[in-house]
Amino acid sequence: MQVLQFISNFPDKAKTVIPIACTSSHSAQNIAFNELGRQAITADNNWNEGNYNTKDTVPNRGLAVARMAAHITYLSKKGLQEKFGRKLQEREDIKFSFDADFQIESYLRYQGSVFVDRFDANSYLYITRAMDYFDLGKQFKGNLSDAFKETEAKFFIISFTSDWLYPTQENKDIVIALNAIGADVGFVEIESDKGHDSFLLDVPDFLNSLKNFLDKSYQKINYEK
Amino acid sequence: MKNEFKVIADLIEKDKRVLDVGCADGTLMKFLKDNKNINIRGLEISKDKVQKCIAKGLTVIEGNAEKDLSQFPDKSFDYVVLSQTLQAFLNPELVINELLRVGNKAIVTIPNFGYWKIRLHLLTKGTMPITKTLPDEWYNTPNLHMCTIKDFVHFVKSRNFRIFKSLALNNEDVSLINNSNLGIKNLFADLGIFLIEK
Repeated sequence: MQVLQFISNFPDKAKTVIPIACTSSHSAQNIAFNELGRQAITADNNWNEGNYNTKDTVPNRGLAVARMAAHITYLSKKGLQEKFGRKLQEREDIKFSFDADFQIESYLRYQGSVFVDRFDANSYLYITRAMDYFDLGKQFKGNLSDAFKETEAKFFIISFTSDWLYPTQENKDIVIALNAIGADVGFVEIESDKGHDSFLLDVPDFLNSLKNFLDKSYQKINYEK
Repeated sequence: MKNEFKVIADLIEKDKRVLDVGCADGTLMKFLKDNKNINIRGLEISKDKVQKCIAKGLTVIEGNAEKDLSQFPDKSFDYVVLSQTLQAFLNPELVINELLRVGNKAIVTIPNFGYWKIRLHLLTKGTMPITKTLPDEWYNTPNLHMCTIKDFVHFVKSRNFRIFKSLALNNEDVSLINNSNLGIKNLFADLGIFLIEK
């Protein structure tokens, strides 16, 4: 999303633009998940209206829940099923308790617990809010194409089949906006069951297309010099 | 590069804007870009082939012509090329209309089902013809709407599109199609290449 804003603000500062698994504005579902996270943080008594730095306690439980919910949106149903299924966590049978019986529960709790060590709760509130408010098309009276009309950069947009956070169609909407003004835009949807997180992971088709695109763009830029 | 592509490239003047629909591995795109300074874009449904185009530094959008041509504005290209793909669409008429909306002119090539070898195959063997241009079995062919050169000419005329040039291809042999030799070309050409405008 930032790359879209950057090239819109500074149209001549980049030769190539590669928005990966992104959107020009959050969908209702995106906002809903972010709101869930924010509510988890503000419902934690330790949040204390944001003034937790004056006390010794921080809203780690709320922040951990926010991270757990968000983490689910980064993965895919198929990916989760293949990795965890209904496998149990270091036990022979379910224990009829609210302990982490299933591996997926333990995994999410772990993700939540490590997140609180490296992320601040108020930052989480503001960053998710900024993402929800971001609407590049709106900045141009609803015409997303106008956001890019000053730039001659070469765009390459990449989405992933199993990304339900920023699905292919939302990436394609950016492609459509660029095509409407005859911009130089390529697009590929990469096959992956790793959800939105695919962009961080070793997905060979993704890395190859990125590498090939950058190699060719770099050659071209050098040639033009 | 195959002869068909050379013939298509000869139909396109230098420095134009061209969209190659079903651009496959980008062979024609690359030729046009390197030799005719064409501002070239591709639309391709196969992920593997899109990857090959990217590796060649070509600008390609992964997509399906029947749905994704709609994203291009009217007359945003000088030429739109559709090579041997028309017969594979669910709705070829819609695709032709889209080609002529998006481009000032369209270059369409079709494998000619009226080719004598195909007729002979069906006549003597009584099974679905398999040739160099149509190599698949009836049960796994992507081709849904086969037509002959004559069929295509009739179709284009019935829609009041203009035909600027009709060419018949038989291996290396290229010849003009006109009203008087249509029957003969329909029998002896393996491929038909048409430059049309709405």
